[in-house]
Amino acid sequence: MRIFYVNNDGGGFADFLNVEEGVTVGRLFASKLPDRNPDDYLIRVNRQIAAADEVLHEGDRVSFTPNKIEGARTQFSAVA
Amino acid sequence: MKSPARIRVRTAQHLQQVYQSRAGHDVQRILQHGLGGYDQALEQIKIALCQAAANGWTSASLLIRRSVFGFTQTVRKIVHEASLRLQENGLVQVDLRNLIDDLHQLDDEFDGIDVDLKRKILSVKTEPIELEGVHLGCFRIEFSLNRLKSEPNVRCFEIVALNPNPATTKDSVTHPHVRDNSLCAGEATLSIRHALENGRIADAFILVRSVLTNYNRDSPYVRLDEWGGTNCYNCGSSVHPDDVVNCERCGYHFCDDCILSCTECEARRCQGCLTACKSCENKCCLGCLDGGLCRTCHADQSETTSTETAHEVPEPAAAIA
Repeated sequence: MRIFYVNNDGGGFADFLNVEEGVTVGRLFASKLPDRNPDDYLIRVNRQIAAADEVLHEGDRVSFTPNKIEGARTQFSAVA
Repeated sequence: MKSPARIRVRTAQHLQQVYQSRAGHDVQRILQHGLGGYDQALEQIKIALCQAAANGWTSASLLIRRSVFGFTQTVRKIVHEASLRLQENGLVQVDLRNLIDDLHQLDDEFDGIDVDLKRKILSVKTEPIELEGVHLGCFRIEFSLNRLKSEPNVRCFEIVALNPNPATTKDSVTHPHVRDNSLCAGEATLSIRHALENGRIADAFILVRSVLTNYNRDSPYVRLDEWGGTNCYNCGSSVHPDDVVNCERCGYHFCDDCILSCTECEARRCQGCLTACKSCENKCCLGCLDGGLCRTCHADQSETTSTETAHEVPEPAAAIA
């Protein structure tokens, strides 16, 4: 089935994704961000808070956004 | 407090207009850039036509055909490029429903949004932020719809401290990564740009908050351990850098109340680097003490000794038996 997947980590990614039927939020997170701790992320399904065991459905919008991101002072950070 | 639905709808409509005009703006820029030589080409064709009229159409027809052909080729190429760009922009799903849902999410994430449609500013308020024991207060994250049109990146945001606790050394720095209300987003810079380009407004705001609630000790405008100035080595109070005094012997930092001076040479010394004269108990540096006495007392003592010596009565010589 197809979902809209948004990963705001790093450079950011937002596009449709084909996933298997019955996949949960937790499994999707583990497959996309295998070395990361879900507690460090804001996880939303259709813009609402979602539990790890929530099953995804066709057309769902899933987003993972880090809670803590390192800022900088200007000379070390180019404005894209 | 959540904003009324009609405010979200109106704001979403304004945002949609911005995204639509951005698409047109891109195309316009390509056309202006690519057709910059349009006037020159047109002038050349006019000259060719005038020459043809003066000299006879047959002799000039090749020249005219060449000019017109070159001109149409250029225009065709530029229009094709602009058309491709328009199609690319059209792929971005920035429809009204998505924008309204985004604003609804923003409402939930930040407990309300404020909209100033006159100034075209959308803003939210953060919770109080404390980093490593330093209370920075709440911040208002302001988003400019006008700036979104020309530069969809972190520059669309202004970060306004609502309970300012700026760094002692630089009052324009209200957060380790905010100076003059501008956020240096560091690792979030690219993802904020992509979010804004794609119309994911809520994601962009959340990313800004993720930067504000974190401290990168390797690259702040002002370090948090120096936020309140330097600490006096003696009493521990926070001292503005302009008021710090260094002990000239040990080099530690002191406040004005804890730094003393040598009574003799007036060198700035801390309590630990001064010794009391044995006689008058004035504080002196070791270099100004001689035998535990300050110069003044030492001189007085020397004078006293000399006077005593001058008034001594010699003892009679012993009788020879």
